[in-house]
Formats: sequence, structure tokens, C-alpha cells
Amino acid sequence: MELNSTWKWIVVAILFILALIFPLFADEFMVSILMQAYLWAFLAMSWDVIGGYGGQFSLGHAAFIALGAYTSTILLESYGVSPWIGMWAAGLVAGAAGALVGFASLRLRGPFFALGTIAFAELVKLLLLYFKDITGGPLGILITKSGPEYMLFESQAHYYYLMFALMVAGVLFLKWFEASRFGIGLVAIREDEEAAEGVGINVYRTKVIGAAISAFLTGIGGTIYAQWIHFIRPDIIVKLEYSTQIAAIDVVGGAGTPYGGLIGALILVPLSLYLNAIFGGMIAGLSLILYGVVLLVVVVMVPGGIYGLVRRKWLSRKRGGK
Amino acid sequence: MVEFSAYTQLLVSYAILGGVYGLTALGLSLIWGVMKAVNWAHGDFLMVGMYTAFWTVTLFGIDPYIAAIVAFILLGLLGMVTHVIAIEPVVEKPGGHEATLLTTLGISVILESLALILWSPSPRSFQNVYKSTYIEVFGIRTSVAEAIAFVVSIVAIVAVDQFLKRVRIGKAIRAVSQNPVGARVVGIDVPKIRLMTFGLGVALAGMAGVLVATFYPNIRPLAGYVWDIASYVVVIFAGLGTIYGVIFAGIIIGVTEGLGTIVFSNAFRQILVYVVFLAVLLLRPQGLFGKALRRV
Repeated sequence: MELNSTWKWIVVAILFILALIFPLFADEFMVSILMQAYLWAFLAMSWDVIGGYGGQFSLGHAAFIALGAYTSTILLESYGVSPWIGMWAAGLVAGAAGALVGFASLRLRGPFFALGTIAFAELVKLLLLYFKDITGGPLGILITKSGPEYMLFESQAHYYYLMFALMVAGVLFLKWFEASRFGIGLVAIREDEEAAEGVGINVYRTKVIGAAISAFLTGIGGTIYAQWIHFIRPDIIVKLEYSTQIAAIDVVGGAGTPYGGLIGALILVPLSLYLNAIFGGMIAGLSLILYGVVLLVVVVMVPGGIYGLVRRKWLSRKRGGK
Repeated sequence: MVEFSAYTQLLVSYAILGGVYGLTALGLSLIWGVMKAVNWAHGDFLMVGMYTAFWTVTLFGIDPYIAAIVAFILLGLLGMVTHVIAIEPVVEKPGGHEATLLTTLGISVILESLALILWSPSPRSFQNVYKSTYIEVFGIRTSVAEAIAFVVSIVAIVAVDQFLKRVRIGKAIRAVSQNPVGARVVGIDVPKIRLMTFGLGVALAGMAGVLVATFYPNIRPLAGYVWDIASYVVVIFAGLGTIYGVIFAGIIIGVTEGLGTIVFSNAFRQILVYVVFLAVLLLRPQGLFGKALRRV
């Protein structure tokens, strides 16, 4: 057991170092792909708080990306506030909206909750379009500033390290979260709400705060995303496609685990970006089809996701079983 | 007074559209009622129906209402294939409802991507006499295509209701919907009934797609999405599993969209729909016409 855990740490350390030196030997395209995988991993992990641990299947997380991205970008372009500070405001705005969704989750179960979150995201998109004095409406906002003090970098490698740090922070957070009193409470509610209430867990507070935490993290991810693409517009950012991808990545990787989001993103994001790069604009939709097929296959064949499968195999071997 | 009649015209047009929403929602409602599964790919089946209309009309020059029959059969088969792949393997497992949510989401993504690959993202439409001919009743003008779509929607909803009440298979479908275990005990082949229900639900979506395509000028791979949202709104509004409810809910939603157009502007007419939708979801999740659901 001791040996096992030592080996685990050695493997983690090697992977960590490999990831750190990756931009030194890989070309720009590869760096960009892995960077995007980290970003999606972080978004999927943020979703995981409410979607995986909380068991509330949200299909509206693109709204939180948008709220985060718009908050920090408006602060940056209209008031000159650096996104290093603005990202926290972004998290708070998205988190407040997340709390509203949390209130909704007290009444809505399963598909109803998913439907409500879709409607919520659509509403956010329409409102972003409607209040064009603040948001630029359908034209969106272009980020015109530059320099690292505004979280804007010249090379993809810088963004790579930014996203890497984000992803690592996400994994560490989920590791801490799932062992925390609050995280355990959230899982207990997912498994059996009445029993959880019976042992003294405040269901009302736990669900609302859980949704707020998930949205808070997603909002920060939204800031980082905006800083990377330099341009935000309601129709390119509040897409059901994004909400779906976030959920699909997490479910494929293994929902309700600290590594599910990362595993899902490391598999799905590079695959879809490669497909895109190979077939490019010639065949639209080819990269997306992958999400559909993988999601379908994983849910039917390997419930629990890839991490769940690997862990089951690992445990049964350790026990000397089949 | 001029303004008033313009508003009336607008609201009636949206009420007609709402009637069609009723039909687009029917299949969704049926599938929910029987297997408690939400079909996320519903709007995409509608989209496939729209393309069926486009291709049969432009390639073979046949009447779009014959295309509706073609789409009904074609989509019925597609629905049954989907059921075998994505619903039946998971529906009875623990956590089956969440699983069907995910698998139909997968189907939805696959259908949209396939449509993008096969037919490109550019919107299409086809000319037909029904779209360009207008009729006028009590000073309200509407295209024949929309009038027919409205009438066919109502007829289809009544027909499905009668089918469920009078035909043997229809009765079996209702039995499974009310009590799957009891249905099995009295010798009903529950998996077969589920298969047929899913096929019927998707076939109805395909037919609705054709009717929509006769007047809706925007046939494209993601077109289902707009109708998807409308269908979900109608189903929730009506109360899941009710049949006649969808007509009234559809018309109410249509009129709400019309009011949204008056209050906001055409591009933002849906703001009101979403607000009403979220309000209904939160305040009366069993819908306006549905019985109180046990919380799932």
C-alpha cells in the first residue's frame, strides 16, 4: 500500500513536469490544443460541483461562462480594471446567478432542472443582446488592451501556463471539496435527500451554495476564456453546444470525481480539435459528432465514465478478483 | 383602430403558430408519458422531417402533404432504431431517467452534426402554392400553408387521443404509461410498447417538421432547436403526459410570443416566453392541465 502510493506520486510528479516542459518542445498548434483541453477540463470540473457531486444536470452553464466573461470584460474595457481583479467580480456575478439556479433546483428535478437551466441560459443570452448599451448587443465587445498586467499575452505558451494553473487549481479544489463537510453533504443530498435532511444536513442551504460555487468557478473560467479569445459576443458564447460539451466531457470522464473533467477533456477536446484541423471548414459538424457518439457509447456501455471504469478495474485487480 | 386590428392579426398568426407548437409537442409528451424519458433529440427529428419535406418536394416534385406521410413512416423507423440504440438499453437500469437524458443528448448531437455534414449549414426553403396563397376570414389574413398546418395539428392531436382510447395498442400504451408493472402482469409486452411509443412519438415529430417546413423559410441543421424549446415549453406548460392540454398550451405559448413581439420587438419576443416558462416550471411544475406529479 505504501509502495503503491509512492509510485502514484512519482507518476503524478512525472506527468506534472512533462506538462510543464511541454511548450518547450511541442509546436504552437499542439500547445494550443492542450491549453484548450485544460480550459474545458476546468469548466467541466466547475460543472461537476453541481452536475456530478450535486447530481443536478445543468445544461445552462454557458450562461455562467458568459456572465463571467462579460463582467470582467466590461470592467476591463469601460473602467480599466485588470482581469486579475475582474475575474473575482466575474465569479461573484456568475455565482449570484448560480444561487438563483440553485433556488430553482430546490423545486426542479432531473429533466425539469435541465430544461429550466436551458431556458435560463437562453434568457441570459437574450438579455445580453437586449441591454446593448452595456453589453454591445449583437456586436459584442472587443478587448483592445494588451500586456500581462491585463492578463493578455503574446504567445500561446503563456496562455498554456495560465490554463494549466487553472486546471491544477480545479483538481486540487475538487479533491479538497469532496472530502469537505460541505461536499459530503452535497453528495448525501444527491443520494437521498430525505435521509440527508434526517441526519441534519441543511438541504436548502447546501443546494443553493453548491450551485453558487459551481457558477462562481465557471464565471472565472469565462473571464479566462474571454482573455484568450479577445472577443465576446452573445451568440458565440451562450451556446447550448457549450453547455452540452461541458456536461458531456464530465460525464464521459467520470462525473462526481476530481479527475473526470480532466480525463474527459484530455480525450474529447484534442480529438475534436484534430478532426477540425484535418477536415477544417470543409465539413462542419464533424468534430461535434464525436461528442455525440462518445457520450452515447460511454453512457450505454460504461456508466460511471472512463475514470469509473479504470478505478473499478484497478480495485478488482488489487483485490485479486477477476 | 388600425393598430388594434394589426395587433389582432399578429396575435391570431401567433395563435396559429401555437397550434402547430401543440403538434410538435405531442410526440414529446407521449414519450414522456410512457417511459418517463425526455427525448432531447425531439427537435432534431423535427429538423429531419423538415429536410424530408425539402428533398421529396425538390427532387420528386410531389405535394408536401404527401411528404408528410413519407416523413411519418421514415421518422417512425428512425425513431425505433434510436430507441433500440439509446433508450431500451438504459431505461430500466437504476438512474435510467438521467441516462436517457444523456443518450438522447448524444443522439441530438449526432443528428445535428450529420445534417451539417450532409446538407451544409446554409438555410433552405422550397416554394409551394400553399405558402403563396392567402385566405381571409373576418379580416384576418393567413397563408393556406399555415391554416392547413393548424387544422392538421388539431386533427392529429384528436386522432392520437382517440387512438389511445379506442385501439388495442393505444390502450396498451396507456396501461404502460399508468402502471408498467401492472401492464406486465396482465401480459402486455412492455418493451414492445415502449418501442412503438417511441417510434410513434418520433413519427409525429417528423410529420410536424413537414408541416412546419411548408411555411417556415429556414430549414437548416440547427432549426430543430427553436422548435425544441417551443415543444418543451408547451409540454411543461400543458403538464407532461396530457394529450389535449398541448393544444391549449401551444396556443397560449403562441399568443405569449405574439405579445412579446408587441411588448419588446420581434427579435426578443422569446424573452416573455422564457419568463413565463420559468415561472410555470417553478410555481406549477405539473403544468396547467396536468395532475400533480410525484416528485421524481
